[in-house]
Amino acid sequence: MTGGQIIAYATTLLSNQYRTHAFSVLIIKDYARLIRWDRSGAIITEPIYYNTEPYLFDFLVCYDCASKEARGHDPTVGPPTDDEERAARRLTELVNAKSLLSVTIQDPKSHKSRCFIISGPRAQPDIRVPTGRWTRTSIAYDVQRNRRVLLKDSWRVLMEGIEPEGVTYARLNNHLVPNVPRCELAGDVGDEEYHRSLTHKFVNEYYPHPFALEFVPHRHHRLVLDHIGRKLEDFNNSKEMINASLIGKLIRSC
Amino acid sequence: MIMDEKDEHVEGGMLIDWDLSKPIPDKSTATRRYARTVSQVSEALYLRVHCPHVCCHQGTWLFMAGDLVRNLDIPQNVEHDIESAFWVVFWIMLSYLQTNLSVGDRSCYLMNTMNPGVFGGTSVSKALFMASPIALDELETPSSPLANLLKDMHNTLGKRYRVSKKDKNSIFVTEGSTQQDNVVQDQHEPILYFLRTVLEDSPWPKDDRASLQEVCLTPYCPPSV
Repeated sequence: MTGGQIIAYATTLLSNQYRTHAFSVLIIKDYARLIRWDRSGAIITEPIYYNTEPYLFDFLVCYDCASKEARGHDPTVGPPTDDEERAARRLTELVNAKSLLSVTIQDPKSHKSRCFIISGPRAQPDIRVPTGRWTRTSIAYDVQRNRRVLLKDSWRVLMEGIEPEGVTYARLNNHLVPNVPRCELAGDVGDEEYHRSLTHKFVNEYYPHPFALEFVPHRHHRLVLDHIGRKLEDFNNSKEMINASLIGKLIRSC
Repeated sequence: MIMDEKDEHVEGGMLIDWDLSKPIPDKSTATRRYARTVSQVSEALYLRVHCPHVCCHQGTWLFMAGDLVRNLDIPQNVEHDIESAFWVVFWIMLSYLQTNLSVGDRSCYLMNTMNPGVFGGTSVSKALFMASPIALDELETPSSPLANLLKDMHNTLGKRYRVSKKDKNSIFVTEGSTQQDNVVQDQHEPILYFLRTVLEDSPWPKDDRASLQEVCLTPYCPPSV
């Protein structure tokens, strides 16, 4: 019961903000546990008997002194400038957005940061766990090129053989594969310390975990697509759906 | 995804979400099972759509080919991807289009046929559905080209399931070119043919837009009013 409740709280926290991780303190009678949530799981401390042990107090003092990044803030997301906000509000998708955010991605070639304006995150009620790739796609305003694009923010899995999605797009785009959107920009974002999940490192650290293989490491990744479409299940008629789902997959592949 | 933009490179639809794909270094090597990325979770996409309060965010299992969900050891190949296209369209039809199927039929396809247990036990149900020549005989939709296309695809894709391993290993089949290989190679063209014909010639309904169809999550839950 408690497990479900604290998972729901952590999910709400991590879904309503752009955060890399979050901490919570679970207090049960005379002891507390500290929990660190990220995209691959949660690290939970042994019980801390706070009446006799100093660790809970120490944690709060450390948290208070810690940098924003150490607390889980994502420094690549922030408020847009007034000019950016005015320009972005011209897009129909952003005109009525409650709040706007400026998201940056570093261009791997020029090493300069590029800004994209999106609407603030929405809660995703159908996802009940904070772990996973947590893909969030937004219609975004590309400040540099003054146009509408699709921005995909996700935590890619770090598994052998799987390339970052941006690399796959670059390969497909370079070979002029049809029916694949053009990827303008892609890359891992943030630093290697906080924009990478940690839980998997601790899985077998203190005792063997029965589901150790289930903890997949994740890395924060963003990409920008120039083509924006509709979901396959939002079709206006069946011909349109067949056309979209099969033409791309079958006709163009021969 | 469906594209509204009119652009010669964007005809019809686009393929997105490449984040779990992986390169196959050698053309002759199919992706090996042990490296496959799909997690063996039987959570189902239909839950997410029809029942958003149920936790679920993994649905690839539903669209995997019948022999892949049945057998851990076979490598994934192009014929499996073509079959996945069939399952995607079948899923959309069950979930979003009116058919002559009852709530029970639809639910059974979504929950059992498309979502079998993981490796063993009921995992054969998907392969059996593909192998059965009569599986979709009764299917009717107001969009008759769609029903016909699904039946044609099902029939063609099912051929490789109808060649049993016994036949394959039979002494009458010459080494190097098994009957199954031939069936596989012959899949792509006929499906393209059905697709082209059905898109160009058939009278498609104009206004059968997506509308969520009722399904029943367990065989025992009462029908909603």
